[in-house]
Amino acid sequence: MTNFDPETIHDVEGVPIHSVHRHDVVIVGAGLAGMRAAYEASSEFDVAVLSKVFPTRSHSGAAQGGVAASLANEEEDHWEWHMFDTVKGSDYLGDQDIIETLVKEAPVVVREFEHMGCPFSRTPEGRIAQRKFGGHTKDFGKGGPVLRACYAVDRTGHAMLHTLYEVCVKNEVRFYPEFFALSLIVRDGVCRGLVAWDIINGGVHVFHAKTVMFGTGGYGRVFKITSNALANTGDGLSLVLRAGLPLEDMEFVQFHPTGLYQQGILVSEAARGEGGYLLNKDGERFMEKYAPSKMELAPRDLVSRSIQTEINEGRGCGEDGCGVYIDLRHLGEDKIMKQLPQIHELAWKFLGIDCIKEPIPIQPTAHYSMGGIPVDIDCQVLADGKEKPVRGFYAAGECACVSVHGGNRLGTNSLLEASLFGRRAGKSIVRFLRETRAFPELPSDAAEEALGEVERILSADGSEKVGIIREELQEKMMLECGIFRDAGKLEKLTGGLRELGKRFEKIGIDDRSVKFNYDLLEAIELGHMLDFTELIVAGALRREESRGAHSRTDHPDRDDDKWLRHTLAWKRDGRIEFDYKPVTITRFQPKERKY
Amino acid sequence: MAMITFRINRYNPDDERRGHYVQEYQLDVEKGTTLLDALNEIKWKQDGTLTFRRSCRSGICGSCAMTINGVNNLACETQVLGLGNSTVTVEPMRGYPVIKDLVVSLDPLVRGILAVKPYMITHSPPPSDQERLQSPEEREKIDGLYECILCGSCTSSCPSFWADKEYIGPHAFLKAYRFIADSRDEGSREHLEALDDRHGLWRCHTIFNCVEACPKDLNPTKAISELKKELVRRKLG
Amino acid sequence: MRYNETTRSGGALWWFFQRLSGLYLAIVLFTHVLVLHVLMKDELAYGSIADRVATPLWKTINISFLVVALMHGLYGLWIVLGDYIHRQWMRILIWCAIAVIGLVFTIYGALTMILFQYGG
Repeated sequence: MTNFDPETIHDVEGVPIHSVHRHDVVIVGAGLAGMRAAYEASSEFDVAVLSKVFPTRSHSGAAQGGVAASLANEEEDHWEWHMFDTVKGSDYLGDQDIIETLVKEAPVVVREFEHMGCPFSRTPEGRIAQRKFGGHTKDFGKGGPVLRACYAVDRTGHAMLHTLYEVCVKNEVRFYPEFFALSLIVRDGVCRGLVAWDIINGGVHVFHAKTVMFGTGGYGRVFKITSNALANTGDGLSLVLRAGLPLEDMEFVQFHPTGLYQQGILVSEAARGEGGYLLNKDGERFMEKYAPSKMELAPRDLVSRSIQTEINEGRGCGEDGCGVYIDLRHLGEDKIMKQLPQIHELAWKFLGIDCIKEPIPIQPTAHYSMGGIPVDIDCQVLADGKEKPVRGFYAAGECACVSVHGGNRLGTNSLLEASLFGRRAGKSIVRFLRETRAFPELPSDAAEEALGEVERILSADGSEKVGIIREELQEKMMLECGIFRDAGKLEKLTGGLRELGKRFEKIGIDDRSVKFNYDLLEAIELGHMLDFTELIVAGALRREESRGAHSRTDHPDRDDDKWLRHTLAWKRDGRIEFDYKPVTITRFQPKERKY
Repeated sequence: MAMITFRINRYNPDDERRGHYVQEYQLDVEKGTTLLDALNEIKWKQDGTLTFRRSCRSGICGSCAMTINGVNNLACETQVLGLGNSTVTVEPMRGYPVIKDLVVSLDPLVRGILAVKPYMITHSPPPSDQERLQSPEEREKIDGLYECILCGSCTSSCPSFWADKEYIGPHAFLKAYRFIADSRDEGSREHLEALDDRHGLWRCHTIFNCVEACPKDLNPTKAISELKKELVRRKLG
Repeated sequence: MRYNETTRSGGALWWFFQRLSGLYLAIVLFTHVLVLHVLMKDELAYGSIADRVATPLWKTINISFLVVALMHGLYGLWIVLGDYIHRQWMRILIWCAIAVIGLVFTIYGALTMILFQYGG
């Protein structure tokens, strides 16, 4: 366009003018990462936050146990110890320069939350209370578990999420609740905004922005048993893929050891941090066999594999033999009600079990995606996955892969990562905007793809049902790409996914109205899920080793010579292309990982 | 396993002529099935047009509050067989404008929350490189207040809200008191300002419906009483 | 929504007054029952009651009872009506009506009490 005037509102074909909005910053996702960035940037710039659910309904709020920081409020602790634990926990796949930033800034970030008003639990001296968590140790793994997880009873995520909503309200952040992102507008390596769907009223809106940030969360919903919310369908990841950008380390999916049996709802690691035991159906404390020194407080990947092994070898409980028990009885009523009230409530409401008197049946549950959108330390999304940033596009939190978690995340490092990198994203957005006065040019066909998608699905009248395809996808992923993987299962799954993709083209939906149409949204979400699960499976098939949460029974050992590197994957013309990048190693050389 | 009839109150904004109506669905329900599971099953297998909000399905996000057999509760925390009837009546929460089927507008909730300045107000800077100190006893004062998930059950069940749609609402009073009771907050006056209003605190007639409706067992009425006492104390002293 | 001076209710002091007046009314009623039905030695007849009501102490008690009861009751009525009446002119009208009723009954009752005379 030759007569481009950055100050006038641009016309976008197919979108009414009052549905074209302009903001300095447009953030998608109102969880910890998104709102922390919004809070940071809103002191200086006009910030809009889009979220497919009302902000306080975001899934960050379901986090229970705590947020890691070496505050040393309860006992000696150092950022170097925290760094070692995170590196070792990641099975040496985490980038150590970035992990160093994470652990050094952690105390600042947690204290800022306190200053904002977050109701942390307290020590007798009035400082933020800390508890034990899996994989967090003293003295570079040589000592026992360390008190490092800062907590608000067992509602830490809830307390932090609501605090962020409150300070965002104070800063007059403009929320667009129940807006669903449909497509990114990236042209010539510059992000120009995004297209979204107004869920309540129906209608496509265009958000013209100088910067866009994604804090769109994870994708646990591609698995049958998951701790994730129904909203966690990983939409942001496939929007990035569709914009021609890569994803990183998608094969690494964390299974949390303790989800409520058959429900998958999270039983916080705090239950083990406070002293809970894991028992098989014979009442044997089986972690003795797998992690004799750290026992239940070994990292999640290891504990989940141990549980799954018990189950596979016939020592599981429950009608399908797919559970084991977590026993809290010896903690006593006082401690349970004071430190773990939410777990008591969940076990009671969902399984009818009083954990003061009975052990809770649990099973591993898909919990966290270590991989995601490749970003640099300032949260800029990388077009080549390595160093070339997309101008004006940022990501943080679970949807991003900066990579601090590598092959496996330690408990309490996720709330930390989301808030810390949300804050960093906010700061780098502010730096960018101070230098960038003009809006980028908005192409007039910006909404074409999104309008087409909505129209196609709203008029879809095939015979396949979204709910049924999704259920099959979830079952297949659980069985064939779960805790234990092998080439045979993954190859079968590759074919299975292709077939599901074909069936997805023949779906029909019941609800053809535009107002609050979740039938439409679930179909769009399924399209996203089918898009990026291919990358998970292809990445898992390629990575012929076992590292962190990625465990190949046909390649049971870690292979640092070949695989001490990050996977980058693109989707071009329906084909998956791979590239790799080295892991940054600074302080800690890879060693055998024992607990 | 039991066959349960779900009588669901429906409304399609595109079909004003039909207005609100009741539709019945039948579903085989096992032990352990929550109402949300059942609604999902109906939506995914029987009728894709059935609309309701949902997300975490573990009772922490507050999306799926609805009126179940006449009582407000979270669908995800309601065991269908636990209700003890072969027919389950599901309606959108009362008092709020209905958007579609079981989905209601959250605007009244948000308005109430915004009115009470729902954030910690401090005038002195925090200590540098340290948290503000708060003893466990002081911290205990906000237990039963900060746990609110903003599901809206309380305000929807409140007769004062039914009569006055501009009533700030028990959820917002609970929020206000969460800050006033917090030893770190220095802005009580500002939080209280909006409450001493025609649509504020004095419209509460201690009916206790909010307490009964709260799925998290919180007590907004108690918070309201404390707020009333606090306001009087300020007026007199 | 109008959270500003025009809807300021001044409800705090009224709320407190309702608590105090409620307490006062309860005490006076209790005293009434006590004096009339428990402590009274004389025969329960017009003469003995009228004797007592004509004393300055009882005149004061009864007038205060009248004023407090009227205020308590009428303000309670105003609060209940206020739940349902939102139009400003209606509110003003009803407030005036209640004030007039209150005033008339206060004056009428007080005069009755003050002018009451009996025996010596």
